[in-house]
Amino acid sequence: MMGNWIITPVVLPALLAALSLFIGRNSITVARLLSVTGSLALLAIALMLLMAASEGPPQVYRLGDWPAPFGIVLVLDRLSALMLLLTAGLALLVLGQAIATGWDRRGRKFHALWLFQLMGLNGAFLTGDAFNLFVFFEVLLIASYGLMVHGGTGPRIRAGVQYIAVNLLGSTLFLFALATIYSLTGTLNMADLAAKLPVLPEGDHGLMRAAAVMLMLVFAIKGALVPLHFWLPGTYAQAPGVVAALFAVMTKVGAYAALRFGTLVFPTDLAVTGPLIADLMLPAGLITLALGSIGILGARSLPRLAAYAALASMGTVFTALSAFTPASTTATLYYMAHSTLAGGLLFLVTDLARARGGEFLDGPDRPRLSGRLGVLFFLAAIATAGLPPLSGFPGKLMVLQSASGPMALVWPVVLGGGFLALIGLSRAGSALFWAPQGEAMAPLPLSQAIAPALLLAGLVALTLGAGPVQDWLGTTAAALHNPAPYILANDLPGGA
Amino acid sequence: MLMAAKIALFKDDLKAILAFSTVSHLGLITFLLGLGTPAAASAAMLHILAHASFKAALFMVAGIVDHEAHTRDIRRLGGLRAAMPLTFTIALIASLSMAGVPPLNGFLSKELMLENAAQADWLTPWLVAILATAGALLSVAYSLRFLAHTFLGTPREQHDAHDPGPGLWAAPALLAGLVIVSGLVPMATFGPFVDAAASATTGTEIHAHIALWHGLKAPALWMSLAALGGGLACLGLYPRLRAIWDATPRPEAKTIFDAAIGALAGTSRVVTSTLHNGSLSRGIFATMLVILGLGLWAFLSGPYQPGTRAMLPVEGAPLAGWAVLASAALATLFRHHDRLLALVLTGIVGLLLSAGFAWLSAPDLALTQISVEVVTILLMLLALNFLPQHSPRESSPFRHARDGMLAVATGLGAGLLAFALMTREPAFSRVSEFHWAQSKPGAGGTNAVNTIIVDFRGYDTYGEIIVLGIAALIIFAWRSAVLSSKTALHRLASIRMAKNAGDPHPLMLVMGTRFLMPLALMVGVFIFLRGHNLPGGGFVAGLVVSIAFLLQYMASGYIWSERRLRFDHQLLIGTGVLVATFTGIAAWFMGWPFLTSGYDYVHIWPLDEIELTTASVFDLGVFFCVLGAVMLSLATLSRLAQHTTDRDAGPSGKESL
Amino acid sequence: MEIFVAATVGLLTAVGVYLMLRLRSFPVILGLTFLSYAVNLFIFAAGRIRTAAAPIVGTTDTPTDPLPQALVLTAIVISFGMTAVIVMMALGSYLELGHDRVDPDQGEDDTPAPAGKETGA
Repeated sequence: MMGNWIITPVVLPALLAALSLFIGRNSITVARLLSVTGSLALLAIALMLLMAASEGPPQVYRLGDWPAPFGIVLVLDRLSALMLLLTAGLALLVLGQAIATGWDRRGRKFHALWLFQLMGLNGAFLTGDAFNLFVFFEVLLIASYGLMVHGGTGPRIRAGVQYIAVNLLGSTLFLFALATIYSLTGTLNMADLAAKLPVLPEGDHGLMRAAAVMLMLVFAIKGALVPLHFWLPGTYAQAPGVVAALFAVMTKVGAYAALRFGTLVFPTDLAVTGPLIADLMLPAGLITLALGSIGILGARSLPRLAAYAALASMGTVFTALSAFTPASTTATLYYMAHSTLAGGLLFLVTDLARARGGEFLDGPDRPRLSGRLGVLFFLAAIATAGLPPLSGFPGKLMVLQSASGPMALVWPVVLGGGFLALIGLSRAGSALFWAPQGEAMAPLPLSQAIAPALLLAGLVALTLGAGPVQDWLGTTAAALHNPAPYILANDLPGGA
Repeated sequence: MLMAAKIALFKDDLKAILAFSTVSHLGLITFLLGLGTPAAASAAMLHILAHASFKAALFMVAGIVDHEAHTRDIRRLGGLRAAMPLTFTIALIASLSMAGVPPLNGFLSKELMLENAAQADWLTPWLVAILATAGALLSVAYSLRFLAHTFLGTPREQHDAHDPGPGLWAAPALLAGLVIVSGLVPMATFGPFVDAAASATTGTEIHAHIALWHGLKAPALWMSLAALGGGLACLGLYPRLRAIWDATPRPEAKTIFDAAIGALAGTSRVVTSTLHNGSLSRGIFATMLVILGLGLWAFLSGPYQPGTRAMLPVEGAPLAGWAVLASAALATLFRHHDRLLALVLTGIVGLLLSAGFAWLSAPDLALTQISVEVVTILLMLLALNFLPQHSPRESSPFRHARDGMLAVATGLGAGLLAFALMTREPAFSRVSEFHWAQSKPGAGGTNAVNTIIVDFRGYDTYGEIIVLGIAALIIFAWRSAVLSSKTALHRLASIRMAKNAGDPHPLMLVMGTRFLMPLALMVGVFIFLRGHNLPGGGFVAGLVVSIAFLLQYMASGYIWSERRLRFDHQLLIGTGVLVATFTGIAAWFMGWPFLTSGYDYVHIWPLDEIELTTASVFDLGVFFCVLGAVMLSLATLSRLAQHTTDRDAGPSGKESL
Repeated sequence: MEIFVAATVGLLTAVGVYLMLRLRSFPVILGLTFLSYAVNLFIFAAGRIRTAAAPIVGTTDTPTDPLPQALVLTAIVISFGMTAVIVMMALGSYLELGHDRVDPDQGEDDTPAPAGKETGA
């Protein structure tokens, strides 16, 4: 049993962030040291938890020693461990980049906010309580507001106001949904909900269906599913590059929550909701993918392009997710891992190009992309478009193979989206590579190429290890679609 | 294959001719592979090898010509044979091979190609054969043109051209040699490679027989002859053909491709920028519409039974309060352009709401709501000092109607949902029954709401502390950003503050608030301590203390208060988070999970016996974070105020009070 | 009384939605405040309403449900923090841009115009 280790991904960053307010307040070196130490430790802890979760059934941590469903519990299972690892890995690399590029010095309190952001993400992945999920959504959101406007002026702050407003609307909806659920079932523990919903009186079904849809819409807002995606392009394009790279995992929180609730609380064989969620998610996912891909091709600037790439990747994730079968869940998880790394990489490269004046894809005085940065952009584009040899290719293949919807609909959209993305990325590449009149961009220092290179290495590892990774994810997906051990681990009264 | 061959014939740049001929040959190879027979696969492999040898040689020849004659424009070349005999020889061999003239290797593969084409049956038995012959014909034509127009005829502008040194001609000469040798003894040279590659391609063992002479009966021979003849004819008639070619409008592949991609990108750009114009209200409208529509649809598609719970009787006083609340809300709606008024009305709604909470058995909520209300409204009032006082009327009537309808529909949905829930009994027993039963024995407090907050669901509160802490941090970081921005400072300097009243800081108010200060602090402590058993707690206490400070700011001015209240906000927030975290961690050392609470009774004079739980230490974390967040916001606003025009016109005399 | 409580939830929601759809940051923030009122009352009401039954041990045997009250408290605190942040952001946006419109200026985000200079800072 992992015991207190399960809570460390939440407590450790909070502690370090608070410490950073004391001893790191005047020295960026100390603040950096604290957050790098914290990120390294989080990575180690995540690896340890992942190994622990791989071996046995889900483990429950009772906060305040109160039993579920009366107190709040954390649940460590393979999915939450995977999300912790993804977050810790991406965060460490992107943090390195933030330090290498000096982004962390362009405003105040970057490192404390960064640590709080990690705390919020980890808390959301670990919790087994629906209302606590809301609380940690708020933690991660408010930290992201701070990071989003970090060092910002004018347009970025205004984009920040929009981002906050939309998310507050989402939070309000979250509360409406949770209150309805509590009102009907008298519980907030996710496992308890899973145990009670099958025996919900029929007269309550209509209201519960409304609550389920509202809840899923909250996750759809976070995951930027069309037509709830309007906040994403502006936010991601305006956010500091390194922050946008970390946000690659933020949208995944929405997907994570949708996956968790869609398999645990509202599985497709539940009488109350049935295939309701899956039916809504598939078309929305496909439209998101299409709009994102069109956006990649239509973008005028590199940050916008990267933002639409993030949108398209969420479309792919939700398209895969909507089938809610073990095979499709495996594909979803693989693609999520891929797109987290690939999205992070694309935003880092975008940031490097932007810092060298290579932001816009048309117009005069564009500098020419060259050297290391050119190579990085090329590889990031391959990963984003889902071309071989990087992991986007097996990822998309798995998505296609496991898609539930009519093949005549899913295949053209996924492949066509990939095609549009490819054209868009090559156009962007040639606009930056062949800018006729421009001077070559300032060379890329080796220190700023480390994090992107390591992200690439991650993508390569994901490709080379596709077999074992797929096996591990397959077991994870099977566990998600058979939630009995998860519910059992909560040790609910009456053996429910 | 045909298309590219045709284009190659009419190109003027030597390299372009070769490039298009390469496209044509690739087409040929693809065509052969597409036939799918073992023999065709062999032919394809042979052609790859042959093509590589003669085309590489030709490209090098083109390079030499360019180097020597300083042009690759075939129209300006000619008669180089005399000046560059060596280069001419190489070019002769290679281009004749490309034309498929025996005994060179190009002939072998072309022969095989024609042989396979003759056997292919697609649409009609003759079509493929004719097309293949036409391809071969064009190939002959451009090969010969390459050769003839560059090296034969009368010399033109390039008088100084001569053969280059061996460094340049050695490589193509070697390739030319290969072209001849492999043409004469194909089986000894290319044979093994062709077999291996073709076997790998088709997946079956293949042993090709490649020979120069297949006998008179082979259709390929006649097709080859036709191609050669036709090619020569083309060359003879070239000027006339050229005139026709130049006169016909033709689609250029690059132009077509660029236009198609351009159109696609243009459409994408229009779709993207039309849809995502960055408008917040569009996003919110879409979001609300989806929530409402899908929520309603999900509800209507499931069974529903109205609740049976008995309702509370309608009472007079609450009804009157309700009427005021409703009028204030509606008035906010209609008068929101006047920002100050709207803010005051919002405050009234909030206050009545807290009265409602008190009436409906929620004293904690009432207390919290009222203090949050006061602090929020005060902060917004202070912020409003910097903002325009009115919102312009800029929505069209259509927009008003559209937004109004959506708002009414959403309101109806939310209200009906609330009604449906309130009038039914829950199907299962509620977890709060456990909280109620365990409040005193398990968590050591009589106020069940508070024990839930600090104990049963203390982890939520932990998250909530963090949220407040982060909020304060953001405000802190934001302040430095604004205060270092020239634009913002410039704008601030143009704002005139505190021009509304003659005497900005009335003496009575100043004296009163300063007298109230210690009292408010006392009240804060009191509320904090009693929270566990009666309504109160760290959050409300923090707010009450904040209100006391807020009043100081409002009454005595930013400057006066700022000078006397030098909080280190960062430390306050850090302390809050640390206190809460360490309270939680402390349980680890007792062998309990995070946030497990213990309690004991202590006496603090002059209050009654106080029950001090570790949970109330936790509450202290809440207190610090609330205070930190509010004070930081205040300090920030006062810093901003110091940059406005009026900062020196303040009541400097009164500051000595 | 349930009807009136439900009507209040509906009214507050409607006002909140309408104000959120305005074009200036100040009414949008007011709208958010109203929505937060609405949802707080909704959570509270979802625990069923009762008079004179405050959940304090020793004062009553049949208390009203304390859990929704605790949830509302958490929600109030969180929305307080959020409001403080968005008020400051809106103020910053006004000071930087000289107006308090929430929508971007024409072509502000996506064209090679002055916006590009901001990143170098």
